[in-house]
Amino acid sequence: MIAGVRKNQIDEAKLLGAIDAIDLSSDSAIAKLGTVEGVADAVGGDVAPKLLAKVKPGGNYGSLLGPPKDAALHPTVNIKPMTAHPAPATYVHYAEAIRDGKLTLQIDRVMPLSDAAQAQAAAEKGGVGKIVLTP
Amino acid sequence: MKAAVLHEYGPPSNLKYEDFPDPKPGPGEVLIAVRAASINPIDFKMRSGAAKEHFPVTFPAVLGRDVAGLVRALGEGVKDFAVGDRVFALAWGAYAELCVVKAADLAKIPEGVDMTTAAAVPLVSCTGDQLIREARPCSPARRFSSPERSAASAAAPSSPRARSAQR
Repeated sequence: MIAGVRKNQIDEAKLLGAIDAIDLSSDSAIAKLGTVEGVADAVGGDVAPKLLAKVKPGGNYGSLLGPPKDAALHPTVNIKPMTAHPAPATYVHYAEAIRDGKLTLQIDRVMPLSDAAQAQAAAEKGGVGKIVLTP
Repeated sequence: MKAAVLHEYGPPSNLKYEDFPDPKPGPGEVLIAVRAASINPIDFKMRSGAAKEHFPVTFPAVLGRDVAGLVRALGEGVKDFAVGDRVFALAWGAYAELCVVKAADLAKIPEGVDMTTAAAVPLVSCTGDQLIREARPCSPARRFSSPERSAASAAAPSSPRARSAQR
């Protein structure tokens, strides 16, 4: 699995177990990427068509943000738009895995709910780890 | 209650910490006293308007998908939870002191997991797990037990070299 992340998240993605990680804002990094079996897209937007072009014929492109703009140009790829839905057993499973040390989920910082604006501004800049608000 | 309220699309400063009507649990719903709510990219894409095609916002709005807290009250017909239970969920309206969640979407926080961690788990776990299982970007033999490890998006390599490196 190759992680596609922001430039400042590459080292972290590798530490978490990806065999490689690339900067999705870098066209040259995407250009160097070979053919892939499939893509799991949680970003969408302008990078989606670039990644779609890397998928081998018969491969899958799962996207949380609707089909890539030029999906029609890639009829041999199975485009699968989807939306994450609540699944209590899933969050219990992963919470237990984190508790038991099988997974890492980094918390960047905890901030008061009254600072939600500053917290979102910080999250939007793309740090490493989650920001949690407390009322 | 107090909440971070959004009145129109725009920059982070559009989130105003102010009074907002208390939500009431309907049949099959649970009222949660929020102890922690985590921020996800969809939150700021909804705030800015970047995601309005797929996730339009009706104003005034309280954003936030990930909630952890204590059960405050039960709606009609809810059997599986009790007042005071430690719970977490993938929900809507988590940036607030109170949040209503469908009982079917709610889970008890496992023993030994704190509120902060619990609030960080629901959306990333559902996103990663469902994206890998349902959209199947790689063959089942090489699926990962921890798909949410990829921070943003992930591609499964098809070269033999990459395959062996993955084992």
